[in-house]
Amino acid sequence: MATGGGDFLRKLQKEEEIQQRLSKESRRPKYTKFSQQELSACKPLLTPMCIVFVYIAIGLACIPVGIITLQASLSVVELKFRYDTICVMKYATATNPMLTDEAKSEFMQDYNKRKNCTISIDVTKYMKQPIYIYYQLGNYFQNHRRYVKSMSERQLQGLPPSKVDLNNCKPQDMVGGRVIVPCGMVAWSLFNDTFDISTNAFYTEEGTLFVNKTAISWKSDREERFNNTIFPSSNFVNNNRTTVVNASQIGGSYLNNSQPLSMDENLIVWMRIAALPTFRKLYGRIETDLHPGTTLTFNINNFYNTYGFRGSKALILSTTSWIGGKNHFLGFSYLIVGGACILIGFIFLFMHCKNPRPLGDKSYLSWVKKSVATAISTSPTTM
Amino acid sequence: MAGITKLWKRKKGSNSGAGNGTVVNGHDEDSRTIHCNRPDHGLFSYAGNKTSTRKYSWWSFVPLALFVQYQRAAYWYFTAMAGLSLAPFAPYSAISVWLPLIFVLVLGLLREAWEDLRRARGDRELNNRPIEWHDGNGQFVEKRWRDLRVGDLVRVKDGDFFPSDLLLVSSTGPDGICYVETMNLDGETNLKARQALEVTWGIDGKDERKLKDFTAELLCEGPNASLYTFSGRLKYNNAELPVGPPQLLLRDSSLQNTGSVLGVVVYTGHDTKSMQNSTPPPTKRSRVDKYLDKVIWLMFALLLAMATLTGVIIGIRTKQDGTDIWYMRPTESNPYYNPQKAAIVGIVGFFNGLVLYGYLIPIALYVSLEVVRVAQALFMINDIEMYDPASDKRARVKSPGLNEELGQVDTIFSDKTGTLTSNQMDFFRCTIQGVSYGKGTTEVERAAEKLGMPLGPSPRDPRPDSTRPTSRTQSVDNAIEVDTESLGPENNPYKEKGFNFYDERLLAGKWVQEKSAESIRFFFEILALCHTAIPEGTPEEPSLMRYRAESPDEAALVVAAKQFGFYFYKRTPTTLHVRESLRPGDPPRDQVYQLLDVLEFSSLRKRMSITVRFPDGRLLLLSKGADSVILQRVDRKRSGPVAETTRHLKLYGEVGLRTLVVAYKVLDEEEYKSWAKRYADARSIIGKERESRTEELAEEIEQGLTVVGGTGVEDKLQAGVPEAVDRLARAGINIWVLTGDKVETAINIGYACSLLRQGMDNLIVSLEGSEARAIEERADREGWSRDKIQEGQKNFVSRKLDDALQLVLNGHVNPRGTSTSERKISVSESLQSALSRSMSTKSSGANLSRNASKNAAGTLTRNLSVTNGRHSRNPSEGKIGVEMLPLVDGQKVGSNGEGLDQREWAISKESALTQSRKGPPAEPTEYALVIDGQSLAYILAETVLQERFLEVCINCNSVLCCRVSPRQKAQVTTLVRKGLGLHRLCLAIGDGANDVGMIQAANVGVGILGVEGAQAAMAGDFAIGQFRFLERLLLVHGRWCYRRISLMILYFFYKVCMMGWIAFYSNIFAYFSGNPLYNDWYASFYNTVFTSVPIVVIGILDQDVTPAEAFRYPQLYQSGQRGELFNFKLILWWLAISLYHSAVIFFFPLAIYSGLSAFRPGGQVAAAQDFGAAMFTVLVLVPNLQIYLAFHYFTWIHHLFIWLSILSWYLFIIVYGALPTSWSTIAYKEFIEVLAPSASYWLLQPLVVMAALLPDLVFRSIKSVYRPSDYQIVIEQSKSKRDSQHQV
Repeated sequence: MATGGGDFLRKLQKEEEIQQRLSKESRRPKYTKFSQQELSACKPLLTPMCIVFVYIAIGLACIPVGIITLQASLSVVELKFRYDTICVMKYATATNPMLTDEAKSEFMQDYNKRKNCTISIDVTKYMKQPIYIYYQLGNYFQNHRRYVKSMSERQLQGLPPSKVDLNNCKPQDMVGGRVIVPCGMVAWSLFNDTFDISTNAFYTEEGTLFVNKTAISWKSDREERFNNTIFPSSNFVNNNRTTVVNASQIGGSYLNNSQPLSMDENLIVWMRIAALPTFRKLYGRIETDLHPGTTLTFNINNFYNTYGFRGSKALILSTTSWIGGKNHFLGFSYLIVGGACILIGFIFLFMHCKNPRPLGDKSYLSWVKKSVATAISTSPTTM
Repeated sequence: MAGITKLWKRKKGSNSGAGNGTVVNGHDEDSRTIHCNRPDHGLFSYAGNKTSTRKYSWWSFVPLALFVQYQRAAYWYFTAMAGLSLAPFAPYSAISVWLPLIFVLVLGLLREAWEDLRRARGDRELNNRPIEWHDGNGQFVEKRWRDLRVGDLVRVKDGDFFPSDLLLVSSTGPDGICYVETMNLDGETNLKARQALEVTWGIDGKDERKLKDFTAELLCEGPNASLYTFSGRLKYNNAELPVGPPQLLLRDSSLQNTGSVLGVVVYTGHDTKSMQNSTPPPTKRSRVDKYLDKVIWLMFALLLAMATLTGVIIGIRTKQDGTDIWYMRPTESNPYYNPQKAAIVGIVGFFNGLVLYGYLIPIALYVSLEVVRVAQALFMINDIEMYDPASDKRARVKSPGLNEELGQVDTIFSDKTGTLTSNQMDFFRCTIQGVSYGKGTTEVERAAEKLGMPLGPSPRDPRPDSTRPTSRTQSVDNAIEVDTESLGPENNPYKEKGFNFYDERLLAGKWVQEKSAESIRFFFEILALCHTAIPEGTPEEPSLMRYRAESPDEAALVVAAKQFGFYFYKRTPTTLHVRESLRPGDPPRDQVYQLLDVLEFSSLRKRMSITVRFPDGRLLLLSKGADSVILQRVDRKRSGPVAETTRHLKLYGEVGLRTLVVAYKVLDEEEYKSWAKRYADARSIIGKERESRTEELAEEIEQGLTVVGGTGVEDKLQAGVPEAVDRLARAGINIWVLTGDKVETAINIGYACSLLRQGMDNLIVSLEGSEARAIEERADREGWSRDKIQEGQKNFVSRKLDDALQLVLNGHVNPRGTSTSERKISVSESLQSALSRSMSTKSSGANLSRNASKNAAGTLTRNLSVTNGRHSRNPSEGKIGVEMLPLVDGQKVGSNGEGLDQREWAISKESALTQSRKGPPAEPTEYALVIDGQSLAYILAETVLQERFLEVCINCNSVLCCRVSPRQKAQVTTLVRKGLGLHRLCLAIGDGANDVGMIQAANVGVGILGVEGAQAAMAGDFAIGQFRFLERLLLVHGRWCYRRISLMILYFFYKVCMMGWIAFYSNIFAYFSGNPLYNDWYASFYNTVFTSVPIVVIGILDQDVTPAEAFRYPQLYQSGQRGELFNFKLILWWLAISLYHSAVIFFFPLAIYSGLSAFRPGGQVAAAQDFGAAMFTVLVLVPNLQIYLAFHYFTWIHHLFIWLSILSWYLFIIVYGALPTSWSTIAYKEFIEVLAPSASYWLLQPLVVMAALLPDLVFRSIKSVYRPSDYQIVIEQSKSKRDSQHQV
């Protein structure tokens, strides 16, 4: 490439020369600040006092931000409980008191077993509505390349899936020569536990708490990415697992074939792939304030098999603040960075006062230092 | 592949395949037979005259140009990666990988196409030039160049170029002579005469019949690349006559000073010698470039390691998890997740990793580097400070790939004449019959006076000259001085180009009053006759007459003869016309001298001679040449004033003049006749033998000469040379001068241009010194064989080198031989220790005193052992005197026989002490090595000596190689470049054809666009108008370029590594399945858009200090020599930074966008694409803002592009998100809907930037406060100076 540039330049220069010879003008280059590389420039100098100033200024700016952010995060109330083990433990028998993962898995795969369980939680702090309900899965690799690719963006938008898409959707691509809608393993493995909440509080009718499951997905997703004219295809709706899949594994929801994909917000949320193997997904929203002393009773349909791959399932109730959920990271980080800056600033100040370096001291020049060093190192030998 | 290579080679071969012989009809052509003036072209199968310098034809363009592109290994890698991206398992979409590659390739192809089209345009212009062609019927018709065929008869007019190589048939000039200019071929501007064979003179185009009937058969050698040889036989009118170079007119040269010529086409098109000769210059790669390759390999190894790790982990995990992960449907047929075939999963994972982490090897770096280098070159070209108004020439850059080499030069090999000096030769002094003439001061003398070291008895003052009779001259001198008070060397009415001589004894015809007027007259006659210059102008106007000579000093001699009244005005092949005007009043008298033979000058012969018959019938051989050569050939009995002439010439040499000895010999008629016949025979030999035979015959006749006198021509130093040399030396660059001049001349020029400085020890290794001569004398006495003499000389050289080596290493030579040297050394040692004792209390001065003592010791010991007991001529002149004239004969040495004793050293110690209190500490002792070509020949022949020589040279600041041949120049350069390896970088600078070898052998070659033509400039990687521009080229442009390129490469690796690390981090969380957590388009835009421009701007514009500061502190340059800005440590440092930055960039957003807590008040948790976009935001921010921390120079252009780059990310994600969902897919409305409304997104950005940059900032603060770099101190200095000025 370097020689190529040379060719180019050579040509350019030759051409220029010929032209100038013809025009008989002087070849003196024109003066511009740019071509003489004399543009005015700022050359920031890190002088000790400027360093101290910069650090302390940064520190002073960071600390208040940190305090405010941390406060917002601290104000969030979050209730979390893991239910996967509890919900199967009641089926433990005397002969098998501690269920193994295999046993749990086996249990889950048995269609004839009822899998619902009930869990109660006490609200200890006032929770202002809206209160968000999440389910959290652990050790679940939604971000596995194989899994991520196993869907068809085109299909969701109402277009016929491409060949590549269908190939990626395998083995969940076709059944009986008909394309599955939505195809692929992402949709097929849709989380299908359900939660019903009841409460002892007086302000609810019949003790049940209404969980709003609409508008839990991004507006653009449900309005544009997921088409409202596409309905789950029959194959998927009558999801007879014994026929479609070997019944050795279970999970994945039935889709309502009378409801277009854009209406199935659970699916939309699920299909927005999580970044990490442990993740939460929005399940619904309670639009009532909860007061301390309230007991919430969750009736869980524990359908989703996380036992086979040593995963976990949890249910979370959380309020939000202006920065979101309970996450002290931002606040603490700001405080740490700010604190560190102030500390460093003072260290520099101290060091500068104690041992200042005069600006532009020539004895720091490497060649001066070197000659002094040789003088010092050689003088003892001649003594 | 092999096919393409072959095709390529052949194509190339047809353009420039030098010397291999050309393929005609499938076989190599050894000789060809040409039927002159027979337009029956069907008979011959030689190539046409159409030339093409194009690399490609329309159908071969794409494959061949691609092939050129793919000669870079990196491109294969990129293509392989792109190929992998096509695989179904690839982590990025294929198009996002292919697009950058295609972009780069198309860019390369477009450039090739553009260049080729320009070449084609040039070809078309050439091929369509008109030429007068003989149609076979006595008429000339116009034809195009491309239609010419071998054997055609053509007519070329004055000033026109020859369309092909022609055999000269006739000329309108006298005696079939024409003149050609060969500027385009060899760069020489002088005219060369070509002469047709006498038998064909008559075919001059006037007589149609003669033209029509002209037939001849030419048998000559096949096409070859040698410009100076040609041999053949012309069969004409039943006679067979030899033809040679004088009859050959070469393509690319032009007809001058001649009406028109007729010629027969001999070689056409690509067979012409000029086309055969156009070898491309050797491609050189810069040190940084080579190092970059290594870094790329390192990166590649890293990449392989990471990919292997990925493959292994995903294989093992898949195997372990087995069928547990039911949502992956492991039991179905699934090639990429199949626990039963974990090995396949692992292999796929490996390739996946290769593509995913492929960012580690930056494709954009190559494009960026090229752009930056061209821009840097344009800065050099357009630099006003490097524009030479005298020649109206700008600097030229031929190899922008070597820009940064200019910032790392350790050693400069410089030619002297035309490079350090201006190659404007002025006749300055002469010695005739042992009397020296000429007044005035040379520049060397002036420089010496300025430095406070006068050169002692100078030939400019002729009075102490013992050979001169005192009785008469005293009065004459006085009279003249009174008469011409106002006139003098400084106010010289006779001064003109080539003549700066002033001596009232000779000028204005006064020489006839001199005692040896006859000899003087003869001397001037020789000057007027013995040369090959061609007069240009009308004889009636002497002042406008210009001489086209082979070298400017030859012209100067002819001009001098003119000034003395011997005006050479006309040359024919057999006569020389001189107009004599001896006295101002006398009418000029035209004299015609018969020129018989010319024994031409060559760098090997170092002399030229002519045989000439004077108008009075005398038959003489006139010679001029280097003293060493001529003096070897003098007649022992009639030697002429050899001793005086030698002495004068030596003195001339000392004051920096170029000297020649002028000699003659009276030829015996009979002897000459026999010699002339043999000589003519020898000249008609065809083939290689001819050269050696003529050489032998020249040697035979050039014996028994009588010396008449000698000349001293001043070669003026170029403006600004001493200052430039001084600063370059202070920049830590060792400067070697390789010159053909004498040792004395070189040493004194060395002082004049501050190459040798006060306080420097000169180590002289010469076979011309008296010590070395002693060997020869002994050999003469004892009748040694040639081998034994050589052995003796070699031993001498090797001993000298040993001494020099010990001196430079230990500061003294181990005592050997004489007892005096032992005594002196012990003196100097005791002195040294005494000095350091006295100085040890004051550390800043210790250094200087050490220097002083070391200097003293060095000078002393050198004086004793290296030049064998020479003494200072004058104690008051101090050690400079000792150094100045180490080789001067004993009589020149001053009165103080015993040299310096301890008392005097004590004085110098004191002065050193006082100096040290005032001045800054001085540099350590410096040495200079002076060596001559003969010694060098011995050194170059043996590896042991080579190594020793190198070691001495490394420790010397200046090296002067005198009397070296062009070949030796190249050899020395190669030796140093190879011998010192990667750690030293050699630059060669020169102006003449004799420097081409050196220029090509060095790491960087710089040509001076000088008087001696353009050959050096064409061979060089850079070309400048004046030597002093080298200072700016190196200290300013070179340093900047090195800095810019280094910073740029380091930053590039930092940047791409971040991308690589982040891909790896995200893979850790994605089961090592190769799924990036960000959109692949972000990644492909990262290197091409979001972060690419600011670093290119830095590569073009970055500065540390201003040119003025760079000149004030040349030492700043040393950082480049030490490779301080680009080395393994720095690469590791930047890799560490990238590792830390990428960790912050990845994990900080992850903490918020982990999907484990809402990142917005609306309760939404982040998905992979949300995390990816947020992470990418800071990934764009951090490296762009890092620029503000890592670099120190910002113009508005910097600011603009940094912020535009940052803005481009936001713009991109907005525009991309606004595209229909089928394009943007998961990134749809990412920014407007998801990220922008969230406070944490905006809070995250400053946090990550601060957290990432903080440690770096701390480190840089500490460094800047407690370990400031040199340039920072310099900036601080000028800043505080400015501030104080403001306050005042």
